Amino acid sequence: MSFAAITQSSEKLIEGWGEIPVSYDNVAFDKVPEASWCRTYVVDGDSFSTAIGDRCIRMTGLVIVQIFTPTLLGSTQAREIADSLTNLFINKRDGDIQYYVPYVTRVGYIDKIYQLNLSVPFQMDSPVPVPAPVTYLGSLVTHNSDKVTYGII
Amino acid sequence: MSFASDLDDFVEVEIPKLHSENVTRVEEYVYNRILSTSPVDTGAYRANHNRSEGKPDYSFSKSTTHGKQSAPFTRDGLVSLFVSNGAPYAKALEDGHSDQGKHIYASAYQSAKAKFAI
Repeated sequence: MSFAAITQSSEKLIEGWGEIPVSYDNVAFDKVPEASWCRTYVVDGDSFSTAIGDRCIRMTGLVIVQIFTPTLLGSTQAREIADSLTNLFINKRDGDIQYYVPYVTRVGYIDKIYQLNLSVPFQMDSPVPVPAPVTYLGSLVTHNSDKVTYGII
Repeated sequence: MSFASDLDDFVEVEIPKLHSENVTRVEEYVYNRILSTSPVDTGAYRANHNRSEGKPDYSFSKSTTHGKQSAPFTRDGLVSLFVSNGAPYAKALEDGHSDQGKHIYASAYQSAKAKFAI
């Protein structure tokens, strides 16, 4: 289970795409005047156990890409960018992460810019992580999900 | 007891009952999820998640007491339950214009979809 994995995976995919400048979450970004750009971040959904005994954890959420294009140029450019991004994510499997079919929401003109939101639902199924062994004063204590073992070292 | 009467009973009584139970369960989960992820400034947005049956309720009040329900749920037959928000800035929050909370309903829907496999 890793909350970092989804950010790493989605940002890596978008970095490799590179068609227009991208603003990443909590990273400085200079907008290019009169040009298209986009912003990406992850909206986390619920996390829960999917099997008896807590052996499998499911994390859900959305990868959001906000697409901004100059005004009065029609909506086609924004939609073409959305198409291109959709091809990156649609039904893609990346390790434990399963992306589903993206969808678009038209936000419209705000602050002299045209905005389209692309939302990519994702789900991540992963086993419960096994804690690393912990050493206490000459005794080795190892944990796994159902037992604790003590030994002298 | 005939086979035909058993099937009638299943179609007319059991299916609506199961439907109503499932819809209620999902609606409660979605409502609580929306409530817990709502950004709070004055509290008006969080207080205006309206729960309704049959059709969405987009009314808005400045009250900050949450849990508004336009009418008691009848849970009668194949009902649809709604959670909706009439705050004038609810759409902007949903579109991601606030750093405090973004895509609240979309996130709750996605969570419910994964949890209940709908």
